[in-house]
Amino acid sequence: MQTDGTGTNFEGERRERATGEAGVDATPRHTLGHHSGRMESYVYNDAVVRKFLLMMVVWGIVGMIVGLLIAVQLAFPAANLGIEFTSFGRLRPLHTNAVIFAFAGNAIFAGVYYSTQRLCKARMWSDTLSNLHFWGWQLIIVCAALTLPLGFTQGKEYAELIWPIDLMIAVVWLGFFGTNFFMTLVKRRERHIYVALWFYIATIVTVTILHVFNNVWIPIGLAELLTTGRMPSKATVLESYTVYAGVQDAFMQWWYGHNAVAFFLTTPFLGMMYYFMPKAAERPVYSYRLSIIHFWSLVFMYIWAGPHHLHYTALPTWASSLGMIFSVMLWMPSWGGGINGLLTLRGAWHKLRDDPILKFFVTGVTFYMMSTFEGPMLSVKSVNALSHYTDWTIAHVHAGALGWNGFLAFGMMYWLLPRLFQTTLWSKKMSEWHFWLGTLGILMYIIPIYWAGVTQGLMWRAFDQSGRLAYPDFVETVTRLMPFYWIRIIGGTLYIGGVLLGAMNFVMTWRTRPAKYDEPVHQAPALSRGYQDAPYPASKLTSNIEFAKKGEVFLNGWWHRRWERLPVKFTAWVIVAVAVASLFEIIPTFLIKSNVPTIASVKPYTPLELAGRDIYVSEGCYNCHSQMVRPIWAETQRYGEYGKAGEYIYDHPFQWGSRRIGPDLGREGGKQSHDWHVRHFENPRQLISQSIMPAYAHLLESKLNFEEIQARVDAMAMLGVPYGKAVLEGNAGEMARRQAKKIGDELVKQGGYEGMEDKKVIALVAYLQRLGSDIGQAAEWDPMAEFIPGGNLEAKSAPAEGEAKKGATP
Amino acid sequence: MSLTDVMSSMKLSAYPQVALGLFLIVFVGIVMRTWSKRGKGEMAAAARLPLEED
Repeated sequence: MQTDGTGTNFEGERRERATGEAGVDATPRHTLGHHSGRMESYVYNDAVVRKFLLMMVVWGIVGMIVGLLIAVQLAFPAANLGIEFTSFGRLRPLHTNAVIFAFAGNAIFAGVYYSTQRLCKARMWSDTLSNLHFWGWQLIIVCAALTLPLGFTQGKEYAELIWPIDLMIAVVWLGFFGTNFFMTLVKRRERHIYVALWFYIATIVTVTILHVFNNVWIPIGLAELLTTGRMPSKATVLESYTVYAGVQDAFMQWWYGHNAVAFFLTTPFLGMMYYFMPKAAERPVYSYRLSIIHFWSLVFMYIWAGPHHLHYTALPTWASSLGMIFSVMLWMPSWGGGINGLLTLRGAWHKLRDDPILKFFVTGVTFYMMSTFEGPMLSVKSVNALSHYTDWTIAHVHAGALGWNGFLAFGMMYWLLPRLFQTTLWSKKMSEWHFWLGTLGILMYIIPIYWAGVTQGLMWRAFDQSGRLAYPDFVETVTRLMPFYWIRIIGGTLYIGGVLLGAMNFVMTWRTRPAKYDEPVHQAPALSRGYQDAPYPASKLTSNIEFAKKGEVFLNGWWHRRWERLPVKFTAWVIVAVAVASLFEIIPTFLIKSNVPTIASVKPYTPLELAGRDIYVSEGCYNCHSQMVRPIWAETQRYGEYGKAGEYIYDHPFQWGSRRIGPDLGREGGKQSHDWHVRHFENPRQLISQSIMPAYAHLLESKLNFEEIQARVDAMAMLGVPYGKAVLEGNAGEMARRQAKKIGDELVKQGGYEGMEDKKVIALVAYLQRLGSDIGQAAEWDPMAEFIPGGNLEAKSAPAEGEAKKGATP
Repeated sequence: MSLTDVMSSMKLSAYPQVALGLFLIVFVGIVMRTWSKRGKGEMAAAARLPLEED
């Protein structure tokens, strides 16, 4: 048994008491069987921590360099080298997935595996699961790094990974990591479950729930194989359609998206803060009580906040208002937690001067507080009206990711390195350099990008004296940002420079490791099986009725202290809190008709348009183009009528986007000629010299696979999209060919290229020409009628099912 | 009659507000219990857990 260096020697007996009701209440402990279990020996599994920590650094460098590359592309579009695999729309998801799930993910696993073992006084339950978890997660990352540049994506932000990888994530996260973690809790030798572990519990259960419910899909190729026996094409095997559409998909996606921030980038890192900050400061957390409030507030409130990503969209107002209110409320517990972290250094602030680890932690927590002030502010509708779709969001997330997640991870790394490799840190001075380069890098990243965001937001809404848009050409508002984009590149480079110093320090420290790691054997008594919690104390009330006495005892909170020792019950209550909140929000949106009024003239996409939409998703167009005009004067002036819920009911997945690096496309249909679009795809700078859009010349060369369109249409029909005759075998492909021929002929008439009718670009043009144009059509129009084999008459005699319903029109 | 029809006719517009109330009550309960007088020593002991061993 080791001492903690402050003279407190925690013997087994004493710990039993300490975790009970130490010294406050003399109620005798009521136990069955043994008082405490027999002494047991155990050795920590630090090998797996070393592996996760290494991969945190490796993937951190990879993810950040991809980020740097796409930052360069924004300032200098030719930096994608004209290759389809390195275009912004494909690499941006790779960047976000790599830094979130690979860099932060491996940091979480390193931190959780190290601290859980110590806090539970137990080795991780299964070495096999620890290893499966490690290798499984790295395999997922490699699969992501291969599929995303190839254009395989689900088209939902931070949930881009395709369905087979989704399944792998579920197995590795819950099956390997979750099982290993919870079994370690069950087999622990410390009765009380420290607050860091609560944050880990919330992380594991909530991420599982979010991941599963946001990824309910129909795999296109697999569905085709099972229902018709036809062998699907290579592409459709890996593709899927989400079962949610339009508003509901947006709602689910941001319920997921925001809670991914909450339960992947916040709660596990807070757990790590509550463990590693006391370690580094060599004193307990400032207020354990505050940490409890911090925990429950986040669990209760975060889950509601997602809709603040959808202000002024077609989402029902009540949902967006609720999201705003809960987001503003989150400010307080977040700051309570942040202050709790900072005040852990009470009486030890002088250590900050020469301890780089504390510098990382304190700055990290400061960025946590900055982000959790800014988040609530951005969720206020009137602020969001300006900030949404601009770089302000980008600056906000980078303050959080680089400052909070990055610095907490690196602070933890420097604390762990000498302990894991049983040596001294190779260069403390170099870690100081890492800190200062990183801090300067963050500031040089976020300040210009805040500036860019506000600048562009103000330019979008500026009117001249005659009441017209002051900057009617969208590209003007982009060109203005170029100086900021170049400064960001410098900031990002500095931050990566710091990380490279950290990597070097890692390697050099590793090289001074002992030939064989010392594996100290620890001892602690097993938790006795027969342990039973002390009975509830008698009420201090004397002359009241029985109910009041029970109430008094209840309010003293004994029940919560019991939960804290019962991992299964505790976990169950976290699940209840998260699930109830989610259901209260989600069910009404899905089941109350008034939330998604249908529009009679909105019809499904034609087979060709659907194929084009899938190309749009695959190229990641949503990373730069929104499809949601907000009911704001400046936007309806610029783009046209605002987006309505009923317009998106066939959008699996929704493509509203979150950032307008290019203009909104929600009303693109009919705005430009086919020829304009084709030449624009070939090279945008042929038409708009200052455009920063990547060239998509490959779409003019590669052929569209007409054969697989049937599978796409059939999968959509399974989801309830009324495709009528298009589902008859062979029809979808034939209809697509006819429409492609028509558009190809029109293109030639407009003076465009010949021979485009079998190229991918034609499908994409078909989709763009349709976008947002349905509300201008008559209620009974049928976009597919003229392409159905057999002709119009046949089609009219068999109206598509489900179209009879006529809901509210705008 | 689909589930949607049933749900739509149930006039559930106050539903989210009810949830808000419920959550607020539970939250206040947790705050009260956390700051209740008892358990101070227990809190101090719990807070020391990370410092126990490496």
